[in-house]
Amino acid sequence: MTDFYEVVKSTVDKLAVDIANNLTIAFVELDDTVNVDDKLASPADMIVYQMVGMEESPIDPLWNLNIQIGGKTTGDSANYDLAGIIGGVRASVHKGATIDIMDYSGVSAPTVKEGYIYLTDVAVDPQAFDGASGIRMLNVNASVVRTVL
Amino acid sequence: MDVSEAASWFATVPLDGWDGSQWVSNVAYGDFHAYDRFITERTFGAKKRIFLQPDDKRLDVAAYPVVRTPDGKQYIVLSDNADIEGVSRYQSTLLMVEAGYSADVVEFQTTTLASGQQSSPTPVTLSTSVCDLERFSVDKSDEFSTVVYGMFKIVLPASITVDTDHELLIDGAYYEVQDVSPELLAQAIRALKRTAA
Repeated sequence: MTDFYEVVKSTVDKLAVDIANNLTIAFVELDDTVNVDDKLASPADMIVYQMVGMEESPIDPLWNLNIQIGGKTTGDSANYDLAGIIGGVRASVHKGATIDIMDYSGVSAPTVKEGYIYLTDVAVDPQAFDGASGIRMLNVNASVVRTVL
Repeated sequence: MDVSEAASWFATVPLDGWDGSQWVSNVAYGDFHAYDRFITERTFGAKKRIFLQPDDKRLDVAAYPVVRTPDGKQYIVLSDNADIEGVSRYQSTLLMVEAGYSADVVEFQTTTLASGQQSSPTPVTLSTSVCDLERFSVDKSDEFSTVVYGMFKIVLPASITVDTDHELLIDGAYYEVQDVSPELLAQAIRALKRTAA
């Protein structure tokens, strides 16, 4: 059985990839050391995300989760493209939203729900600047419950 | 005496040719010349050799990019230069480099997972070829001033497909392909030695 942390991580990946696909832009995980440098250096718009942390609260099967998810644009002087991406992210990532936790770490699509993510706090962070790109992230706190023990 | 007769007189060394799948015996005749040891490039005489061959016994360099001498050494053909008397070619001069290593051309392939992310890359061998391997410089790390990398020049037959997404596995070590450039009949790869396998 896959470790619950890995299952949640794969669910966060799935969330970010689905948002990127809906917006028909690319995505990059900030902790992906294999590809992050090349992707951030590219001029393409993309979803940028990172699973910051997850800890038992107070104890398994209840957890707290913190992720950051946002967008990157280049050549976007008024930042409207970036604002549009943030709007697209917020359509899925907003306070009160729930996300089913499933194990997406394999090749085959999962069929078993292993828990839920409930978004308790979503805040738009200040915009950052990385070379030629603007990056703005949403800081997301969530409560997680594991239902398959 | 016709110079072509002199060239034929000395053409006593047979070459076997590698056609991409098997060795073909005695595809050409010629002779090695001792004077290549006095050409100044450091690899001449040691690894690079000059092979003279009369026109009627010369190698089809398109069909056989790699040859083997009777002592079992393998060479990659780098160039084929015609020696001309008047208007006719009577002899040709092959420049060859000894191919003392075997290189696997490796591509690290990924699979798209259910999450949409990519799986960890796994090495897949696309082809294997003899090659020449020579360390020619170092490269300093952009991030750590005390770290230096070994830069290598690797010569492969031109028929082997290599690009900068590939790595070469030679003697248990991976070499990241930084640059691929055609070099007459062969191709020269500039590569960074990465890790021991």
